[in-house]
Amino acid sequence: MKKMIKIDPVTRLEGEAKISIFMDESGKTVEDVLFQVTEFRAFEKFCIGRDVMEMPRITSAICGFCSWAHHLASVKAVDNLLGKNVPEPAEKLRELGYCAHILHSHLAHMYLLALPDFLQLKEKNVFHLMKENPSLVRDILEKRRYSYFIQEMVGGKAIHPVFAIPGGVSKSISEKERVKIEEMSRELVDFSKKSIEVFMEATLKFRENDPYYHETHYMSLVKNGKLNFYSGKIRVVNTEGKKIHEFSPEEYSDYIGEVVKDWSYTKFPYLREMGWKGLTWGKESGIFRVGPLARMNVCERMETEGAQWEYERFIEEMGKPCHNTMAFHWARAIEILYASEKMLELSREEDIVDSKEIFDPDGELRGRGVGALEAPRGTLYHDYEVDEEGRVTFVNLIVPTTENNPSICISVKKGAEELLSNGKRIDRNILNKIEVAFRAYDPCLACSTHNLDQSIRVEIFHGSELVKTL
Amino acid sequence: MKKIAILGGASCSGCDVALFDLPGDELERFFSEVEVVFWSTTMDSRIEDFEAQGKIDLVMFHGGIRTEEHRKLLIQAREKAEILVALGSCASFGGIPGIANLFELDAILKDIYGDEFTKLSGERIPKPEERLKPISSYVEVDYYLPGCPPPVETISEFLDHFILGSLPPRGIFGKESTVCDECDRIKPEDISIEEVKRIGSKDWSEIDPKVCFLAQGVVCLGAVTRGGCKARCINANFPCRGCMGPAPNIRDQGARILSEIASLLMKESEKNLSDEEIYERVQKEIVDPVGLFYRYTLPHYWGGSNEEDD
Repeated sequence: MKKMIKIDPVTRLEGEAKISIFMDESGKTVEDVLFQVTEFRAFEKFCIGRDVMEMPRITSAICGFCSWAHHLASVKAVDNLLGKNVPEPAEKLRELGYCAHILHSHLAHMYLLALPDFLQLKEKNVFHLMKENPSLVRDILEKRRYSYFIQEMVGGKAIHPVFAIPGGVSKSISEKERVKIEEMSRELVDFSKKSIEVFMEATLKFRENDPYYHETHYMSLVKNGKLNFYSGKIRVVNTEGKKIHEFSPEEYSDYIGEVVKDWSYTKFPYLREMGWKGLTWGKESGIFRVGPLARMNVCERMETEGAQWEYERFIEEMGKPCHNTMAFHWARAIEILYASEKMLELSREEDIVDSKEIFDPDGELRGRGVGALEAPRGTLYHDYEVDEEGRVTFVNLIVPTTENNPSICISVKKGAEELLSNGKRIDRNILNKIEVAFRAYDPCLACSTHNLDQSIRVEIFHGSELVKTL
Repeated sequence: MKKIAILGGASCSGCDVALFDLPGDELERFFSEVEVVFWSTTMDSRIEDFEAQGKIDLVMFHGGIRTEEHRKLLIQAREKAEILVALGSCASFGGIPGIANLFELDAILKDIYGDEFTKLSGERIPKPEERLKPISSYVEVDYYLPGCPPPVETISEFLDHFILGSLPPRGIFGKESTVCDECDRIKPEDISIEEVKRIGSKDWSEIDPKVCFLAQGVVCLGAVTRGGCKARCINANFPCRGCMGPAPNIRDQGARILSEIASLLMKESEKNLSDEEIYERVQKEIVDPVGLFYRYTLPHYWGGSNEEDD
């Protein structure tokens, strides 16, 4: 009799999913592991018929953790569709708000969801940490709140912003707001530096023995070879760190393919050049990864000084490309420093205050538009087609968690094989370690299930019999 | 210690995130006075932990009901909850994912995943329901906190009242006013509009940020939408899209703004137009009336009630 173990729902991530682990008849060997996204909302379908000018305001609701990423990828797609030339000050305001958003999202994941895994805590959650170390949590929440305020000042609303409109932004900021943003950014730079130490240490513990290590290709946006969240070209490097593709957002479908599996509401993307070879990894596989670790592997350098220093230290310790899945955490911490420094730099720009040059009124509907940027969790694409009145007729979204989905499945499987082999007793502690595998990716299932509405759980099957749900 | 649980259905998790946007000291105080028994976004709680719970003092549910599992979870939540809260517009009215109710489920599944998938779905992944519905379609709801997400101040005020045991009578926890009441743009006495201006269109550069959007021909739902948001969007020079749901005493938020706009468009017209002519005029001016007027509330008005289906 085969046996199945179920973890339901998997926790401390964004959205719903489950993990199903299939054991062989002896119950000692892992046969298969499914990381199943079970959420379903159907954005790609119901956006058909909507006014394309309203899309930035509709698609932000794909995800509450990274609403800014969808809001801005969407507006970039519509800018592209209309052939708008977004004025410089508007681009700066978008990027400024977006840097605050990277902090808002990354800090939530780093401290509220992931940190408890790295600490000796009786219960692995932020509420327990609050009791054990209230001043630490107070400081985290206060600094994260800066990013909330900056998002609100720039975007109108912190979650599901409204300010990005086709052709620019709806408003600039006042001098008073600019000064506040500058002050907060300065503090966030210091806070980010401290944060890096915490997550570097956590990563280094796994350097020699990372149960979730696997070699893949990597994809990220780069601007003149440097990391940039808001704009640039898409670059792909292979398992050896060699540049194999560089393309514009509109060309994405020439390079990326997607397959559907009947056990998940999330699709499985791959690089067309290698093709889909199932859940395998290595140079011949088409599986690629996106997100903080991918960005470290793809970009050549950092634009800001502090982040560059940290980036060099990362490469020195971890090598390049780095395939250690646990290094996602360290990379994410380096990115908050970059985002803070970039925000500080942008907050000193004069033309973002009471600016009149924030909107391009021209532009004609041209049938199709694609927008791409680096969402907190990786490269995000919005692709729209419209009729002559600007009614949406086609939508395709490729979201980071979907891109990482094959790798998340592999990491979870590797973790399960290592932890559950030889008939080890299955308990919550072991299963939590399996979950550590996907938490590195900071998966966002609300996003990946823009198609359908997914939830995560872990199920362990013995054949078709469900033996355990956790 | 009071027990609380936070769970969701078809949700973007923005309501989860909004909870952490409260001031740090407030959060610290709140969480020192309650025991969180289930909140899978932030802690390792499994379904079985939730099932094992007896009464829970406060259950906050975000997201609408899209799958069979959401429905089962919600029904359990109701059985356990002393106080059940619809957190955010999706739980309250269906929210943006509710626009999917314009399409048949089979068509959605087939278009996104293909035929093969449609046959198999529901065996290994949760079975989708025909239509997305707000939670009130299935259970009695004690409080609604509308908004996408609910304003931080509203969440904070609600939690304070909960801790102090001073919650007002059941119903919508919010302001008895409209977004218009909170907006300080100049509102001309007599409004008429010649044409509707779209966001980001050529005409957009003529918009005066000090004057009422509607008066300038930009669709704004402020007049028919409940206040409490401090008119944040309008203050960012973006018109209201109605996320707080219908204003007090307004039964149908979408129908009301539609007739309002139709009458403003018709003001100049000398003859009395038939309903059909009015509808044609609105259709001509507005590319997607449903997505504009019912963006957050479609399941609340249409396909959201069990009785209609039965």
